[in-house]
Amino acid sequence: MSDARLVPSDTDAAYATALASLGLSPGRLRKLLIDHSPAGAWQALAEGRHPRDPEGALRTRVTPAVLRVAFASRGSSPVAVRVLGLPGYPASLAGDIDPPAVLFAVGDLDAWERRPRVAIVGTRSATASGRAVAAELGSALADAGVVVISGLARGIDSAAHGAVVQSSGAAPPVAVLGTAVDAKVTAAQAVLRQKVAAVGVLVSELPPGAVGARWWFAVRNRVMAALAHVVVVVECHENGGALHTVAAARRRGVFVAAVPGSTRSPASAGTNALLVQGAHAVRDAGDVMALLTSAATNHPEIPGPAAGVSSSRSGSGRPVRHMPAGDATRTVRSALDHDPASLDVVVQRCGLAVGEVALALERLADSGIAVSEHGWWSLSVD
Amino acid sequence: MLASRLPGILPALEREDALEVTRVHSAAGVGLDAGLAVRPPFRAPHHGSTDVSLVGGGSTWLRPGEISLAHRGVLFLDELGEFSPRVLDMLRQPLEEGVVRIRRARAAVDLPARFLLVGAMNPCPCGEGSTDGGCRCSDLARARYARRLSAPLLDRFDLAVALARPDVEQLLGGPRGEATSVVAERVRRARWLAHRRGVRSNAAIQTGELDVVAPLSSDARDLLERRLRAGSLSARGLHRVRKVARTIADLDNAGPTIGVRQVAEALQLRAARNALGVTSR
Repeated sequence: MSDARLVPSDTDAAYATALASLGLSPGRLRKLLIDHSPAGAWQALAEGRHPRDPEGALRTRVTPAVLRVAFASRGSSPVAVRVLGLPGYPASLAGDIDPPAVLFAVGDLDAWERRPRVAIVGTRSATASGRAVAAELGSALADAGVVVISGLARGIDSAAHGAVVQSSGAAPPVAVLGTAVDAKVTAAQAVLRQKVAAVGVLVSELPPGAVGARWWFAVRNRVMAALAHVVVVVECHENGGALHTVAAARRRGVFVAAVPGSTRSPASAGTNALLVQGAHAVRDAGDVMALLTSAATNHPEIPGPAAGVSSSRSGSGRPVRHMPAGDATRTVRSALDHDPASLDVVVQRCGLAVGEVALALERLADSGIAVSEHGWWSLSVD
Repeated sequence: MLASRLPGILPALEREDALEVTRVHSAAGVGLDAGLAVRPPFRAPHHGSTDVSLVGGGSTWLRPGEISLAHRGVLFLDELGEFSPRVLDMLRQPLEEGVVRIRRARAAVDLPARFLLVGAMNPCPCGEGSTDGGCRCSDLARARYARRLSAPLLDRFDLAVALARPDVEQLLGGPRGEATSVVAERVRRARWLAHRRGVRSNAAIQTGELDVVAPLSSDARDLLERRLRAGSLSARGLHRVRKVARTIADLDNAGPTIGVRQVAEALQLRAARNALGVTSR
């Protein structure tokens, strides 16, 4: 853990928390803290003499009540507060073009420094195959010592980090949240958030207890881009939210990579468009590692990836599946693809009796060849 | 359209049932132009229906609601997720007992309400959830939508089917299904087999009787055991699956023993419930 001398004082942390809970945009908050300590900025605002707020527009919001809540919340909180310009602020963000003025974090903030970092992002409504690719990437990269950054949303984000927390733990996952670190989320997200916090880091610009506006999700994407050396978009719809991260990465000269998908899949429309525009195509962790290596060659300050994942696709370690015996099973197997189909569609494709098809599907599921989700059947991806 | 065909494949009402149905309909003031009701009724109330119109009641005169009008027939609730959760939960007791007990300050009546419940709903509010990666609903919206159906209500559905939007070839031509009359004959025979077991339909078979009237073949037993061990089938689900498998075997005219095919098909018909937030089948 960090040395006590290298973090902001409790007073600074409490004032910074109070300032962050005013609901200002990151840019405005940062301007308020230029040339001011958190306490100094607060006092100046309260007295209406802050040079960045000459009209005293914020005066009504800067109330003792807000300050009291902030001080009370600092009491024994496990959430660390980091302030731009004060000790303990992550070096990797300090030099960014649009750094967060105040960061709230759970976990060891030093853990991601001096390590290669890859952001895995994508759509919430991902396909089964997209989620499988995200999981494969997450687990292989983490095993190779790469810090996997993501946003903990449903779909691609959750699949990637879900796999990272199950991996060997060679590198900690970093979740950059668009909500407060303790915000109310769905049960599944809460479980994953807890797992990530246990082995990695949660970062947010919103103080605990705060309810952020929807635009925070887009705004936090710049933090992911700022932290990452490579941004990988696994699946993304046309005009999907992941494109915010891509734009932020391009502004910072961070490599953007996309996983190619079917041109018929709406969930790959955005990623395929990125590829057409010249993003790097990646199929697996090996391709991402190659990209990291060249990023490290161009920018010596980027740590090179540890040895491990080779960039060839040979020996990908896919489990060998044994096809269950039976003609019907073979027919049903050939009627399946990676596009989920309902039972009646599979029955139509095979021309067999429903019971026959159902039995074949159960057998294929037992041997891991087919998977069913909510009654929709497709070939298993791995 | 699918649901409205259902009464057509159900057997005609027996005289006693016909009298009962006619009595309820007459009490509700529903037109009885055709005299005695002989076909099973089909009721499809709108999702905006109030609880009183659905289960019955009223302040001045107690009137049978839609569920009593659907007695011995089919109650079809389209857009199930749009009905108010309160109204849906009122269906639980009638579904269990076949009777709706209405208690008001001035009167108390028990009205018959033994109906076949059919529901239809989208997998999520935007309706694109059946296309992989097509849904753009927020997590919260999806969770809220799934929560509208309480677990106890969902549990009373024995059959669930995932439906894809039909594509162009299917809409224009495509293979024709069986004629209603052909299916109706199969249903009539299956109901007759159930009658011989002493029940109106196989859903009413007592759990203790299952080993007698629906014995499992050894490979069918193996499959169920694997699903139970894997945790993908609950104890309650097991009994439901066995009853559904009994019916499938009756429809197939497959004899007294339940085979692995019927069990596999029954498992499939339970799996689609997962789309509505049920985790184990």
